[in-house]
This record gives sequence, C-alpha cells and structure tokens, in this order.
Amino acid sequence: MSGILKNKRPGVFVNLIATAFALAALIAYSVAGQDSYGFVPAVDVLLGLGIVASLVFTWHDFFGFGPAVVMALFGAGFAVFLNSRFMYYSHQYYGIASDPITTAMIVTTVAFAGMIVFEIISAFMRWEGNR
Amino acid sequence: MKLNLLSRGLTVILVFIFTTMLGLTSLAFEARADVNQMLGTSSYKLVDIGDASEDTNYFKKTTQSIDSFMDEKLALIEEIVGEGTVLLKNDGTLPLASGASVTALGKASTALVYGGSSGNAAIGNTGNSEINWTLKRGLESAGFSVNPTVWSYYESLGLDYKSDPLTEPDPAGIPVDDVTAYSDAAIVVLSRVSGEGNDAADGYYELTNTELSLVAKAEEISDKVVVIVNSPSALAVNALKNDSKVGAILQVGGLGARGTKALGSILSGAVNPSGKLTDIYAADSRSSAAYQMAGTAEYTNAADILAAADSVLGIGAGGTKYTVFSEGIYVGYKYYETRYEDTVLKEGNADGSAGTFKSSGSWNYGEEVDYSFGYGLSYTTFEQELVDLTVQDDVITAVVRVRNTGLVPGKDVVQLYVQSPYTAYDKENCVEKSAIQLVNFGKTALLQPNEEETLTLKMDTYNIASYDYKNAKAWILDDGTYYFAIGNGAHEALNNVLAAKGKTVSDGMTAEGDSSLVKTWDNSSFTTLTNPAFTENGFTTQNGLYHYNSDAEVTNRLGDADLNLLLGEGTVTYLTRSDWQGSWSSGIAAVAANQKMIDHITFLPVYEKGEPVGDTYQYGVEGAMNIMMARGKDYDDEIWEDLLDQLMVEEMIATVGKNFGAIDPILGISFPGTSDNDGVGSGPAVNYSSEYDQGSTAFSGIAKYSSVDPRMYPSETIQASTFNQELTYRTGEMLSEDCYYAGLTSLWGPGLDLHRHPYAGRNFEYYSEDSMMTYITGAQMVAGLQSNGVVAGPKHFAFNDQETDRYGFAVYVNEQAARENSLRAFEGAVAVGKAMNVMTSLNRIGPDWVGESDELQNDILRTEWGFMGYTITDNALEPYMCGRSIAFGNDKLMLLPGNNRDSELNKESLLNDVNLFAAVREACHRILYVFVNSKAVNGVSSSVQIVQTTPWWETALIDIDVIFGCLTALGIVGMLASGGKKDKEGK
Repeated sequence: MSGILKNKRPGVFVNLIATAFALAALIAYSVAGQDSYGFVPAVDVLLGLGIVASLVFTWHDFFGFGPAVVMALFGAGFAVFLNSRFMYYSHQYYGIASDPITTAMIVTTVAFAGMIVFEIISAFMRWEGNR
Repeated sequence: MKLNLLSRGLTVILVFIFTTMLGLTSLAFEARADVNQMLGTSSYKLVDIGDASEDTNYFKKTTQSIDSFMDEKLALIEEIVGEGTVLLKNDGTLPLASGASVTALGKASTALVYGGSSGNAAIGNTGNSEINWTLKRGLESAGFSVNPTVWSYYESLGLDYKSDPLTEPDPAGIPVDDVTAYSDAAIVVLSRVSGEGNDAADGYYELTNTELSLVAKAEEISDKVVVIVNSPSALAVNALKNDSKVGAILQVGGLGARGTKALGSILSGAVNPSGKLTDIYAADSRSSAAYQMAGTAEYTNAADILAAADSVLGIGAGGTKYTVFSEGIYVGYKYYETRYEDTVLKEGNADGSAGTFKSSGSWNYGEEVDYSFGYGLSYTTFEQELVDLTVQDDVITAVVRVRNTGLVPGKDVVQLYVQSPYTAYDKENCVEKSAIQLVNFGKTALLQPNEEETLTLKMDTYNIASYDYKNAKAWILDDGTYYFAIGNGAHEALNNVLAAKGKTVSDGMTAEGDSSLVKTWDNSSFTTLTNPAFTENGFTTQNGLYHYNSDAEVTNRLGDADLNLLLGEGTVTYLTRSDWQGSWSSGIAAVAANQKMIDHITFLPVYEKGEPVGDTYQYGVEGAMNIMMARGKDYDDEIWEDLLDQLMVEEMIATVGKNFGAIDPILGISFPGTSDNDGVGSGPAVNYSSEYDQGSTAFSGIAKYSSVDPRMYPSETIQASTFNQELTYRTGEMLSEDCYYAGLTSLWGPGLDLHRHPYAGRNFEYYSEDSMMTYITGAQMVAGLQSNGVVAGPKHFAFNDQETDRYGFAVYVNEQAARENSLRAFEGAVAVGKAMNVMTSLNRIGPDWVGESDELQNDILRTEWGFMGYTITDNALEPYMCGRSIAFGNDKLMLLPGNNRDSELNKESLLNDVNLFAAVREACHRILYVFVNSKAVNGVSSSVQIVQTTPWWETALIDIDVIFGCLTALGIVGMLASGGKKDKEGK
C-alpha cells in the first residue's frame, strides 16, 4: 500500500475522499432504494465501476485521465439516480411523498453531493508527483 | 502546469454537466407531454388540409381578456368568502364601528391560511401580498386602521402559515406601547392548516394554552374581542364560546386570494355574514365516533401478507394496514344529533358513559357540542315558515317563506332536514337511522328589512331512503311517519322535530323546539327501491336535483368490504342507536387477514389472462376515419368500432398508460390529445400561458400572467359554507373559464370525500362531513365546470377520508355506511352533475385496491349511476396500482416521469391477452368519447391533420447536450495534447 501511495500528491487523496462518498452513496442507495420509489441497479453498477476506476487511477493516473474517467462514471451514476428519484424529490418538495424522508435517503443525497464536489476538487489538483 | 490542472478541472466539470444533462434530457423526453403542459408548448400542430372556413371553436371563452377574467375571478372569490364565512357568536360586538382602530393579534394574523399546506390543491402565490391579500390590507380596505407596531412585531417573527400552533409567541412579548390608540377592537386570529399525505397529530385541533393566553391578552387590550378561526377543519372552540369577554367568533377556512377583503367587509358590516357550518363543532375535537377509528392498524399476520406478495406488483406502502368504519352511518352530526335524540327519548343507552369527553356526568349533548352542523348567525334576524311540503310520486317538494325581520339587509339559508322512522324492522335488520339528516338547502337573495322571498326545494325520495344490506339488500323507505323540518342547523331542526313529538326542555332538550316548522309525511307501506325510477330526470340550478334513470338493479356490491362477512359475525361491532353504550368502539379491531383477503391484497389469483388476440380484434387498420366523425355520436354508435380499429397498439397503450396529466395526440385519427391537471380545491394547478403575458390590471406590479399561479380560490369548505347552490354553479363556470387561460381540458376535482373527523389531512379540499351536502355541492360544481367543454374529474373515489398509509391501506365498512356516506357523496356529481371523469383513490375498499374494484368502478359507478366517462387513478406511484387494473374498470393510469407499467402494458403482452386488449380498447373508447365532445377538440375539424413538431425546449436541450458534449471532447483533446507535450518534455 505504501508503494502505491508513494509519489502521490494531494489530489489523489481528495479523490479517495470522493470515492469514499461514492461507496457511501452506493451502500446508502441500496438501503434507501427499498422504498416505494424503487431501486435502479444501474446506479450502483455505475458507482461500482467508478469506484473501481478510481482505485485503478489511484494506482496510476494514466495520461492524467483519472478524474475525467472517474467523473464520467460517477456523473452517469448520478444522472441515473436523479432520473429515477425525480418523483421522490418532487414529492418531497410538494409534501405528497408516500414515504417519509429516511436517514438512508439523507445519507444518499449527502454522499452523492460529496462525491461530485470532491471529485471536481481533485481534478484541479495533482494526483502524482511526476506529473 | 497550472494551466494543465485548470484544463483538467474544467474538463471534469464539463464531464459532470454533460452526463447530468443527458440524464435530464432523457427524463424530459420521457415526460414530453407533461413538460409541454408546464411550458405551454406542444409537440404537435394542427394542419388544415381543407378550406379552413369551418368554425372549429366548439367551445369559447366567455370573457374578452385575461384582465377582465381576472377581475371577475377575484370578485367571485370575494363573494364566496363573503357568503361562506360563518358567524358563530356575536354579543353585538360585530359589526365594528366604521373607521375603528384595531389591533390584530396572533401569529396567524400575518401568516394566514389561504388554502391547504401541500399538494396541487394548495393555494398558490404564497407570500405574494399583491395577490393573496394580507389581513391588514383587507381590514384597511374596509376602512379600519391596524396597529402597525403589533403588526410589525408579528411580521418580524417570520413564522410560516404552516408553523405548529405550539409556536404561537408568548403574548407577554407583544409590544403594547401604542395599543391604546388601536383598542377599538382586538382581533385574534387562530389558524390550523392541513395538507396531503398526512393527517394531523392528535390534539392539533384543540386550543393551546398560549392561544388562550393570547385571547386573555386581547381582553386586556380591548373590551371588544373578535376571534377569527381560520381553519378548514373544525377547531374545538369551547373555551371561546364560554368566554363572555370574547364578543364574536368568525369561522372561515382557507381564504383564497382576496378573502381578507371580504373578511374586512364582514367586520365592518358592509357584508352581512350568511355562511353556515358544514361540520359540527364539537367541544372536544376527538369526541366523534369516527375519530376513535382514525389512522390504521396492521393485520396481525402482516408477515404472511408480505410473504405472499408478488415482488413485481407489490402491495403498497400501506398494504398491510387497514381501518374500520365502525361508526357506521354515524359520521359528524349524525352521531351527535342521533345520540342527543335518544338521550331525550331515553332510548338505546344513549346517556351512558361511553364516548363522553366533556360531559360532567353521563353523555350530554350540551356539553359535548358547541355549534351544530348548519349553524350560523347573521347581523339581522329572519323568520322562516314551512309553507308546504308534499311528497308526490318520488319527489319531495318543500316551500319555505323567508322574511327579514331585522334592521339590516341580509341573505338567509333555508335548510330542509328529515327524520325517518326507526322501526322494529330496522332494529331487527341492523338498518341504522340518523335522527336528522340534510335533504336540501337554498339561499335567498339579499333581503331588505321586511322583505320576503319564497324558496322551493326539491329532492328525490331516493335521497332520504336507507340502505338495508342485511335483508332487502336494497334502498328502503320504511313505513311510518317522516318528519321534515327546517331550522338554523341540524340541531335546531331536530329540536323542532322533538317539539312536534311533544318533547320539551323538561325532557332534556337543549332548547324548546318549534313544531310549526315541521311537516310530516306518512308512508303507508314499506317500499324497496331495488330499481329506482325517477319521475323527474334532470338538473336545475334552482335547488332541484334529480337523478337520471338507469336500468340497473341496485343491490349489495361491497360484501368483501365488511369484516363481519369476511371473517365472521362479531368481528366488528358497528355503532348502533339500539345500544350506544354497548356498541361504542374505542379503537380499530385487531384482525388477521384470511387467505381470501391475502389473495386479494396481493392481487395474485384475481386476474385471469385471456387467449391471444388473433383475429378477435383489429388494430392499426389503415383507414380514413377521423375522430371528429364521432363527435356528437352515441357511445354505442358503430363508427367507434372503425375508429378504434385504426388505433395502433402502441397508441392504445400510450393513451391509458403514459403521462401524468395529459394524453398524447393520436395522429392516425387526428385526436389532438389533452392537458389535464388538478384541481378544484384552489384552482388549476398549471400556470397561465405566456401568450397572456401583459401588464396586469388586476394586480399592480405584475407584468406577466405566466408568473401568477391560478390557484387562488378559497378552500372547498368555504365554498360549501355558502349554502348557495347557484354560487357553487357559478364557481364551476369560473373554473371552467380558468381552464381556457391555463390551457387545460380537464380539471381533477372537486374533492368529494368526507370530513369523517377534523384530523383528516385533506379536509380543506373536501366540502363537508355530510354526504348530502357533498352530493348537492358536488353536483352543482361539476355541472358548472362542465358547462363549457371542460371535463370535471371528481376525486378521490372513494373512501379516501384519511391520509395515513394512503398508499394501499384497506377500508372495511358495512354496505349501509358505504352507500349512505362515502358513495352518496360522489353520487350527485356523477348521477346528477354527469361528471365525465372520476379519479379513483389510492386506498383499498376491503382487500381490493379501488382501481381494481370491479364492483365500485363497473357495478356502482357505471351501471347504477350511469357514468359515461372514464376513470383515472390518482398518482400511480406504487406498483400495486398496476396496468392490469384496466381489466377491472380502470381506464387510465396517472404516471409521473420515470414511472411506467411497461412490463405489463406492452405490445406483446396485449396481443397475447385478449382480455387485457379488450379492456384497453374499451378504455380508449371511453377516453376518446369524453374528449371528442369536449374543448379538447377545439381547432380540429374533419379536414385537420395532426403533425409532429419539435417544441423549442427539445431543440434547446439537444443543443445544450451537443455543446457540452463538444466542450467535453475539446477538454479531453486538450488533456491528451498537454499530456503528450509533458511526455515529450519528460523524455
């Protein structure tokens, strides 16, 4: 592990924070998705791929594409999530939801926001010492 | 190097925006019809290939411009609140002196309840004081001066109208420095508000200690204290009623846009209050028989149900929950008044301890009830005379003379009630009888002092019949004496009946009655109305409502909703006036669902799939039929078969199983599609089209009508409190006109469920606790709304009298209570008002979801009531509201973007199931039949074709996607280039 993290710069650690948020989002959504509004597997699949990609690019940031590839997967996961949860958020807004606001959905929402924000921040930072 | 990182960071941002935009674009395209409705755009246009000389505006706006329409709408709102505000108490405090300086108190004084708190039927324009007038503005418009210091104090607190009563500020903090200058009167505003999705918490409709302290503070400020109860549901105002320093109490529901203007006029005396209560005001808000059953219970074997539930269809979030209407027919005043009569007559253990909340000893009406259903005062006095009452054939006709005997002009309400005999037959067969029930009502014109007017009220005898579900299994009219009485509310009418029976206060009556206000009809023989035929068919706006005849036999349909029939006698004890003490229930009985109930809840064995369609039906036939060829034709006209043959399977599925508030156009038959939405509670839930954007003459400073929310009407409770059928009809007409400016073809409403108790979340968009009040008001509203081509969709059919666990909970009820309360409430709008759309509810009736109930949708709605329209589900959020419900009488699923029933409603499944195919085809037939005779086809003629176009937002979204895609690609190329350069530098 120390070898992998050798020569790493702060950006990669910020990326790992984003990845931790993604993992939290994946787990929380798996729980939150068991409500009336349903679970869309594609969200977790995309987040899972994003997490794998993040770890691969943490090992080595090929061509400096790490943030872009990871964001493409995280972003796609977020887009599918937003699409599938449009009703949930609109119902909460109008106060007509069939399910109450759950801790799992709060965690999911916060985790998605953290994932996006930290991944964007990491992109503005160096990931490796030799680049 | 820094540029490199900046480029990478920006590229990542672009990647994020691009992926998110693709998701949103996909969502918007999927919900194309709904987006079009929101933006006032269309994905289709009409092309006339004929000479275009035909006038195709079959229905026309009646107003010249949106400015003149808005002026009329605001004036109507003012009129409704003026006539729907109820004066509960007045010791001469009101009206206030002209130009009085007043202090307004209470958090609600600056945060009024204008409508409900959530959902599409809530009031719009929240916080816009130009549209929703503040109380201060309303009072000032009536010539009053309002204490600015106290007003600013409450404003500065920033409390929301939804804030809990417990947040009422401590009266000790009210700045009283210049209060002396504004002490002509202290006006205390106490509010309660409810909304969709939840029922109010226990105790919410009780006054808090802080509120009582506030009233005491008002009594220190002025010797004239007026309390305004701003609540669509009944609040327990016992302490105010008994407080001699409270000079006047006004009750008003959600005020609507200009309600405070009317309120100011009432306080000043410019308008004389004439509203009457549509719910009884009990001394304790929790004392009704129905409230003991509020909420839900879970089946004791809920785990078995969940285990049996189909994983695809599900059973709904509330699917393992149920409630029981153990109160039977005794909802609202029917409970209190009937028990009252039995205490006077000393029958049925009425004076027992069961159900006592405020009584000091045994159950006592005077201590349990503050104000009865139908009660309301005026600034003048009236004398009413029941001139004549006849029952000829099947029509009751009452003639009532009203004279203003006071000193100021005013309007009066005539309320006709009946007491049917409670016979030995009834007791033997569990037929319950309310001691008094509303038959019909009417309102006078503005009568000057000494002026009089004679009103005639008519009603079918069918509407005073009782439903005997045990023996006759039909409506019955008992033999015996029927007492028809008038009075200022149900209690006064009942007292008049008791007086006619020779009873006085010495027998325990709360007041002496007047037997001269009673007339009797002796029905010499027991009559069974198995197939009621009505002498008069039709509808008038002059207090006459007549059923249309249908050939259907009326008999028991809802056996599966009665737990005593499902699980055995004695499972539920229904409240009976034969034994109030013994039949009082104080909680929902715990039951386990048997296998039959589990099968129905999980919807597993109920549906029988048919054979493949084969040659049984044709579809997608190339033909030259145009929808307009069916306009004006009978539902059974053969032209419909040819038209339906032209529908492609995909078009049939889209018509019944796509979109939330719209139906897509069908190009092959030139059907232009529809635009449907909520709601009659407060007005259309869609903004006005931008084509009307212009400087407003109705509101200063508002330049765009598209920024004005049409939801401005006062809550339905105020509309009903007017007791003015003609005004209700005109309100329907105004809502119809509203639909022209909002671009709607249908309006989902009015809400016709009952106020079973004050705590139900959506009481603000339902009329009353009384089924006949709802029957009449619903009929008038629907008739007015549909008078000019708009389709009305009364909701939520049926038994949706609470919000707790609304997605899938079951209602268990005996058929008498179902027929006489919940169903009768809808019957007027359908059988008299001829509603062409009905929205079904989210709950179950018995173990069946209403949208799957063949008995409710086909047997009762269509066969018994002659419904010729189509049904639509409420928001089909959960999968138990399934596509296969089409085979049980449901016609259309309401599906939000991202929600679909593709797994059930697809071409392959339809073509392999002739039963479902036939049902979907029939649903299309009903939907097209309704809309071809509505304003939906305005602009369409037999020579018009519909062609697809691309609305601006679709182009914009695609452009944005392309731009961000290109920018992302450029960013990636830039990263590649800079990466290559770095590599070279490195080498």
